[in-house]
Amino acid sequence: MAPISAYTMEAVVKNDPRAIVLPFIFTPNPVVGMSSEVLYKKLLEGNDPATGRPVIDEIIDILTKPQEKKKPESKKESESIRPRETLQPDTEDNLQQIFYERGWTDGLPIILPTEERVHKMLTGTKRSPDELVGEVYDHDHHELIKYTVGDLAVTAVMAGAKPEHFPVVLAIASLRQSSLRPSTTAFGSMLLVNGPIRNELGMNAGIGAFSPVNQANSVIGRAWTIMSICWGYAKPKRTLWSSQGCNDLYNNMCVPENEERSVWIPFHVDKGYKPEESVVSLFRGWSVINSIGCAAHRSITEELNLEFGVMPPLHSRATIILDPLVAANLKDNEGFHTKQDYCRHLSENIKIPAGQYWKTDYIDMLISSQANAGVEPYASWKLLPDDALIAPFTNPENINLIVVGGETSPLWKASEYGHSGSASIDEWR
Amino acid sequence: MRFVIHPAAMISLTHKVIFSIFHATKSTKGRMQMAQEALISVINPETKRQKLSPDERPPGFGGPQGFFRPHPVSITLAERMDTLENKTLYLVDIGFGGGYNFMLEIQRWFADHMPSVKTIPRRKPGFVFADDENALWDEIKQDGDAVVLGVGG
Repeated sequence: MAPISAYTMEAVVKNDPRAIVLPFIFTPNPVVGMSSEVLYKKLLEGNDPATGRPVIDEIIDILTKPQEKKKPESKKESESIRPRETLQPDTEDNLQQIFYERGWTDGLPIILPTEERVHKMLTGTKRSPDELVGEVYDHDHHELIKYTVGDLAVTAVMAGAKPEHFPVVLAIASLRQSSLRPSTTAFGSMLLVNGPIRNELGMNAGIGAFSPVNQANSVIGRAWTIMSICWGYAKPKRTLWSSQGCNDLYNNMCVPENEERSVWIPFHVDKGYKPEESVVSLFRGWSVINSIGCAAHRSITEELNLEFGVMPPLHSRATIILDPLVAANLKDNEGFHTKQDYCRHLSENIKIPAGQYWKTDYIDMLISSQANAGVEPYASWKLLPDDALIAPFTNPENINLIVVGGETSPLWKASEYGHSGSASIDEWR
Repeated sequence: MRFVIHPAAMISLTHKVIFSIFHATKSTKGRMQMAQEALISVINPETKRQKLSPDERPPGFGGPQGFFRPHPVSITLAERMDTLENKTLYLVDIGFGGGYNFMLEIQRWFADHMPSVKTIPRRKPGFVFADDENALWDEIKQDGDAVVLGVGG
């Protein structure tokens, strides 16, 4: 076998004991999107950037000449980390720089986590500082990352959170998800808060809810990113691969739902929680389309049809964030009494050509295998002519409708983000 | 803002408070401004990472064997052929964008330069990130002599 990878993944090969022993060949990056002639002349007859030899010569040599199994490089074990150890005392400026240089921040200044501040943060919960909140497994490096209430108090301080925000931060962490994903793509994350705690914390679900104006929205969202960074998810070419990155990750689109102005039941109630419970919900995906204007000449369903044509859903997943004005119009004037009514309508009415669906890179990459395995409806869709219309939202339950906004204009945000979990905040008070 | 002074720093501070002379000009008539910078003690925010042995690693997802199969105890490279002439070469696209077209160019190259090599481009039928399907590998073992596999990216 002659395994080939784009050169950008050389670090993965070198760090993976399964791969390092194989005679890998590297092509220049990228392969995707290149013309036939570029693939032939520059990538195949061109040189392997790692060796300087033509790729085609390496293919032939690797298949016909004796190969020595490469030995994994003996790597020095990573520096032992002693979490919550006190660092060498230093000036504030120096410590800010040290935290930045060690990759512990999002690049913005942080609140330095002194013992006093961390102790104060811990007053925001009845839980013990030593209690394990969760663990995440880094598949790439086979490392288990365990974090306690005390660890999270440190990162919550750094993000600028206050003790009253801390139960939300703990609930986020209990879902065991990094806000940064180890992908070359531009994964984004979103964080929704429901229930009474929204108002207790003064969160903003109204005008400018997604804008950088509200303290609780900003620091709670930032806390998810800072904890993820301190879990080790922002190390370039180790855990951070996103070619362009995603600036939503500064605060993960942290918002509360505007339950008071919504005509529908809140999101957390959809998920089985009681209205009086406070709940955090996480979402992730790649693309969010902000409606540039209103649904002036087309219905909102027609507008969404256009938008999802360029970001077809994976397994019917989508998250649509509606201003209360839009939700009210859908209920009062168009007769969608529940969110479920409207999701069913979207499922039946959003349609795109089969060819457009399958030629979307991530759909081909992630769904084609299911079509090949005979999973319906994908297997049938594979057989359709390119211009045949398909309704890609086969499961309306995977469409999330959320109501956020200040009712200054009937706008919305459409995304292919999926809901990746919800957790009680009250359990962490 | 209140700072907590680490005990070790207190000793240091007792004997030599740090004075930073940061401004002294003629325009200030020789007046020297001094600032005292307190040393702050803060906590390492990194979270403990525990390296897991192969036996400890959690099962994955994505297929009957899990998203990631266990590490092989040892990898043995297949014996190499003397030549590719008159052999059957499978060109397997693992599913990353552009991979199939690259395999087609490898096919074209062999047609141009080594036409006796029979090339068979195929798309790996299983999930792109998992080795969750054996039918193609079984076919290659039966009908093929070698495989080019890629393009990871």
